[in-house]
Amino acid sequence: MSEVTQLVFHFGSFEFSIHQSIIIWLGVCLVMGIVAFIAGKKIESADPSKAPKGIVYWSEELYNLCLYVVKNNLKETTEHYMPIFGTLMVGMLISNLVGLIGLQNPTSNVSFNATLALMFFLMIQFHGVTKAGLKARLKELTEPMWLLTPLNVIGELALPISLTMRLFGNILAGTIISLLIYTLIKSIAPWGYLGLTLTPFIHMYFDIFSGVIQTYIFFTLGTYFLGQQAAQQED
Amino acid sequence: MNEEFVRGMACLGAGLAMIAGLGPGIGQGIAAAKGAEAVGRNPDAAGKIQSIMVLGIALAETTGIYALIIAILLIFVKG
Repeated sequence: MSEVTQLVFHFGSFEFSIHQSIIIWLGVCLVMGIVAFIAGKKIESADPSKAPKGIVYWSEELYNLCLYVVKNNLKETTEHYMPIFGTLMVGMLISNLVGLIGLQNPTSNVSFNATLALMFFLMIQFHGVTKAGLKARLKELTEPMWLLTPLNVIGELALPISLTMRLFGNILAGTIISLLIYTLIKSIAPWGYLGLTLTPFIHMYFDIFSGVIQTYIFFTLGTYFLGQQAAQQED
Repeated sequence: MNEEFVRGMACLGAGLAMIAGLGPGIGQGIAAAKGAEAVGRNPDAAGKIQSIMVLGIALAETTGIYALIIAILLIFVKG
């Protein structure tokens, strides 16, 4: 991990570099796209009267899993938002788990997380404005009294930052801690090789548990705030 | 002020920043304790309580993560 590899393009004097984690993310997208394309073909030709099998069954389960995360927050707009959030959720889940096969997590790059959080922020603000007009939205910020306006503005701006930092910090901490343990194992070899019995549990916690929970948290919180603006239905 | 001094102080600051780990630790402990209490009182709602507890714990973790990011920045940018 110390040697960060990246692709660098030169356009005249302008330099454009793509970080390793972003290349991995593009690879994840490609694999996801191919799998989803095959699954779509299979689902089209599947017989709905029979119980689903193989890739059709897995797609259905994945859909239900994504539905479980966003359903309570988005309410009646779930159908409308399911394509984007389902895709991003599966993508982020794979990105968090890709560390298990020794690749760098795309989510350990802050630009990836910031992009997703910014997307949520813009969506929330867009819905806040289109729901009742700009004037009503600005008035909402002065609630419950005009003195609290700066606090409300900071509260709105804190959402993308906290979403970004929570995911980034968790994944980066996991990467760094497992890297430190591997360095320790290497430096006190040959006795250190006994430490390799410990590393599966480290990966279980930092890669699988932390990665899955953080994906859940990211989309639960994001869709919660989005649902506050987008969904009209009260419960 | 030489470079070694700045580096040493940055690493010291990173260590001090991680004192913030106290807060989330206590908060998560309280959340888990209350979750266990709630399951003890109403075992049927265990699934719902668990998901709320995990969400709350992850939210409480945020401040700790901020401290971690400050520490990482201090070590890798200045250290």
